[in-house]
Amino acid sequence: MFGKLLKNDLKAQWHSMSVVFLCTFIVAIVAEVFTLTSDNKVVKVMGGLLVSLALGFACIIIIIAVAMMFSKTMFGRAGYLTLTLPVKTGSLLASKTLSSLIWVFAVYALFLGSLFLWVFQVKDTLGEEVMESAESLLKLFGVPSFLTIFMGVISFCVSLAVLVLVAVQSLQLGLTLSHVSPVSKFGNIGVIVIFFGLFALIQSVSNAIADALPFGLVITPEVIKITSDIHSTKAALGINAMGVNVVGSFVRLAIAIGLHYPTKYLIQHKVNVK
Amino acid sequence: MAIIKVDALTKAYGDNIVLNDMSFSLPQGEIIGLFGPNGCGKTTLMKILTGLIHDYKGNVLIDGVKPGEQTKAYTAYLPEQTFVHEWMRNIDAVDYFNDFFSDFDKNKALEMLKRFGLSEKQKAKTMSKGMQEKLLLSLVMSRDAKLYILDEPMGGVDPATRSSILNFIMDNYAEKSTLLVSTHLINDLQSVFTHALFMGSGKVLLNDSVEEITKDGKSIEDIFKEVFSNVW
Repeated sequence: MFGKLLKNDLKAQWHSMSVVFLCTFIVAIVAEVFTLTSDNKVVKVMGGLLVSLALGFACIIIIIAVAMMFSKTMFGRAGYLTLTLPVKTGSLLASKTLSSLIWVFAVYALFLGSLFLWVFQVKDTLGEEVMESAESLLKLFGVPSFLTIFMGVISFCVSLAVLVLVAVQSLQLGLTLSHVSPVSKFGNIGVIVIFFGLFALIQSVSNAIADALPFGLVITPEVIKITSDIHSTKAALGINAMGVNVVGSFVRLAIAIGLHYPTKYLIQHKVNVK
Repeated sequence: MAIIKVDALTKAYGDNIVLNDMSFSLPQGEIIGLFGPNGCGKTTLMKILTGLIHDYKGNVLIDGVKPGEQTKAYTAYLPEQTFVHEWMRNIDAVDYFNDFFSDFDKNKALEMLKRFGLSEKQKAKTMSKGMQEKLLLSLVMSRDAKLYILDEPMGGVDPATRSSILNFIMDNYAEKSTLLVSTHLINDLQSVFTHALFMGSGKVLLNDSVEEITKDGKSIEDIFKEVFSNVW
């Protein structure tokens, strides 16, 4: 049954997400035309950047679209259909979360991909020397090498994925709470306050725990080291080392999974479909 | 045997008590008319029975089970308003039901769409209220459910279509199942009801077989006027 829920959620979401993808696609086509037809190096570089910016904007829009779809399919008219299906509330929520994550990650992957492409485009257009100069400049200011940054990007993607999960789960809880009396009196303002409040709280708690437990990885171009104190290990390994605290992400992941349960409880016991 | 058993049911929206310590049971295999003036709590009661409202006091049992995942598998609900997604074509809505309800007969639904003159490819957002109502009826009545709950099934259609819809419901509901129908169109429907539940002021005012309440020659509409002239 979960597979059927997921299939139908992806199908339903595609009808609102497709607009975001279509707009981004149009921007990409326009940018590509400019890049191919212009001899001006600045225009060529700006074309690629424009696509990345459009996708960056799409990253924000997609979160709003996800929230709207959740609200529509659970508590709007379509809620009469969704909430009378003979399925477990937990499965219903898990399917909505997973389908939302698929769309959000698709846009984020395109965004990161476009950034990489843009970097290559800049390299091609402006020449290898410019990139080498940029790398030297980075080293001068104590920033790790490009290789270290690349490895760091992977850990950044994982952290981002966890953060997106926290955002989606907080949104679902906020939207559900906004349909429960007395929070329902505050409408959309209530959703915004709950979402940002919850998100800020989770960030503060996970950051505090991560500071207290500096367990994680220290990455250099040569070695990836697991350590219980990333600060001292990083200091010992030198300027090219990059520290990644994994505790914060684990705490966020645990809280995000935990948020599923109050949402489920509210839908099962408190929410009334109007 | 009772298909619906309600005991001391109370539901309030803020200070407004809609259902007030209501207790009744409804027999299985009957076509039950749910009557009452606007705002008397008919839709609220139906939403409780279908598991859409949870914050009530008292006990509600559908075939001995509290409304939830299990009862949703054998309860077919037609709400007052349309519930299909705007982007859905008729065939998408049929496939959706086919995916989730094991008692759904896809071929029967497609036949019903044809009978109502609805194209499989037509999108819900391009259909009139009457057409959407026909689509929903086709979906709900294509289930082989134990209990059908229909909230104003003919509210949005013209008088000429009402009798064909009524015949449609009568022809298509699963044998031995129970139909609970709320309506204001008592005249159009009174010939089919075998049981009547009157509610007003949050209470059950009358719950008996049609045979019993009409034995002195009065119609259901006459009784409706009689009962509610004292209440409102």
